[in-house]
Amino acid sequence: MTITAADTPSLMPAERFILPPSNDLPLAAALDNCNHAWKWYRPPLISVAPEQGTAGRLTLAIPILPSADGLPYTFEVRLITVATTTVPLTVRYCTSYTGLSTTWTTLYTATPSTTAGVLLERVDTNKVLPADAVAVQVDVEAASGNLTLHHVLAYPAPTSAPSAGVYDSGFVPWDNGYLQGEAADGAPLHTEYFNRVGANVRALLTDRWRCLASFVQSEGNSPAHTATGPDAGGPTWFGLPPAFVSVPWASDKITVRVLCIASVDAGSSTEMVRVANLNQASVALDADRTIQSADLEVQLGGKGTLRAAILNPWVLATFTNTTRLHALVVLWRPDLGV
Amino acid sequence: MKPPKPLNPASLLDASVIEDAHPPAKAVLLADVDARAMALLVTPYSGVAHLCDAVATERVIGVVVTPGWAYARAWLVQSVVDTVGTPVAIGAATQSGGESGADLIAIPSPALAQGLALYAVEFGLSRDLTYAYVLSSEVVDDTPTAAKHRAMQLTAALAPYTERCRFSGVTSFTPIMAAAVDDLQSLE
Repeated sequence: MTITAADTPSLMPAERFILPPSNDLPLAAALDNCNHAWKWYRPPLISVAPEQGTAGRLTLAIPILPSADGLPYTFEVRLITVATTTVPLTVRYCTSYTGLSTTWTTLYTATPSTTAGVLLERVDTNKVLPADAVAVQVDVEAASGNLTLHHVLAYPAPTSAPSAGVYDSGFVPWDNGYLQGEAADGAPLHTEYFNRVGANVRALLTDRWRCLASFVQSEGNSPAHTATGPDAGGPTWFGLPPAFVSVPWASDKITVRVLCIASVDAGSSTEMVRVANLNQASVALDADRTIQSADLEVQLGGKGTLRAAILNPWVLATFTNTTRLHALVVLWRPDLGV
Repeated sequence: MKPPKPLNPASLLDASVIEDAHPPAKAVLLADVDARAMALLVTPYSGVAHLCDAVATERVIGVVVTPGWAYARAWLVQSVVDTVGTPVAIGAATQSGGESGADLIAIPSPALAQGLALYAVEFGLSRDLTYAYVLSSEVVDDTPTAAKHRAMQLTAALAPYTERCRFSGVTSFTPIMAAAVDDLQSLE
């Protein structure tokens, strides 16, 4: 009896469901596919193309909602340096974000070497994010010259089959010895086996948040882009480019979670960041250097792969004051708002 | 034959396959559980909108490709600063489709003028930006003789993988899965 998680799913052709009428082979395959999905269901939690201008060093703070199961994640970092050099890379997480005074825990460090002008693709696997982590910090610095940090990607990627027992997400792995093998030969097809597939699919869908949109720049006081209010005419809203968020095959209306980290140099910090679904609902978040969060109902258009909505982010700046949007991410899981 | 059949994720939230105490042994139950697990695997996760300045600097990102998907497209946005100037060309490429020469994907600019800025504030309070949108082509041509507007090639596989993608000339880009293989068994 073993719990396995194959690297590819078992593909059951339709005829295997018909003869004999109810056979353990396709049922076991579906249960095996749930184990496979536990290891290989990989919606990106972080997918960020940072804004930075040109810099030798960049430090990002990215709000996250990790798996309840404390899963290992794979991190992929893509960057280009001006010089042939090394790039110390440190990724940290925190369980409480308090701005620049946050206490971070190091997830991993690396010092890859780069060639001038050549894309570096750094992949680090098996980095466990605890369930109570609220943000990830990515800190990169070129030892010589400037760099362009093109992309940071992170997705759940367990490196082994699930262990026996009930996970915090609700996932229950499948042991193939229950139905197959000498000891289980002729065992009944228990109702629970069927329902376990449904329950495990639900557990994976509702545990692994996926990123729908991102805008991230330096965590410090001088990010590449800031909004400064006029000296006359009152507070002013400044728009960012619209975000086409794609949620294939989703319902007409979904609820997404908007998270942001923003700050002001002076003046009011209340409701300084707004995200609106085009001509529909909107949420407003404070710029107080904490992680702000709000749920937004989104109306989707299109069908199938083209199921999408437009989200418009805005930043408010008051009288001669500067508002900095350090991070804005939109995450989704299908049970949100249901 | 095993065609990929994506589903609305919300339809998979009802975890009960069998609610009767003593259900008959129906083949349809087997098909149901198989369909749920397979739909979880093959339904594209999401298309992430990346808001960043990919005008001054081409952006290279990694896209997690869902099993079975062979082509991608992208929602693209240009931020138009002014009504004068030359439209900025939009470029894209994937590792699977090739990243140079005739393999590049050339997407016509949707803007009548120049797309440049990210924040409106950077160009003064009196010059609001306008935004121009385009959805890249779904037309498949895997052997182009010159850079053209076409679907972005992926490498269909039975397990998810990361595809390297490049975008330029835009201030927001959302790569999405566009077309899947007809038969997942062809990937075994």
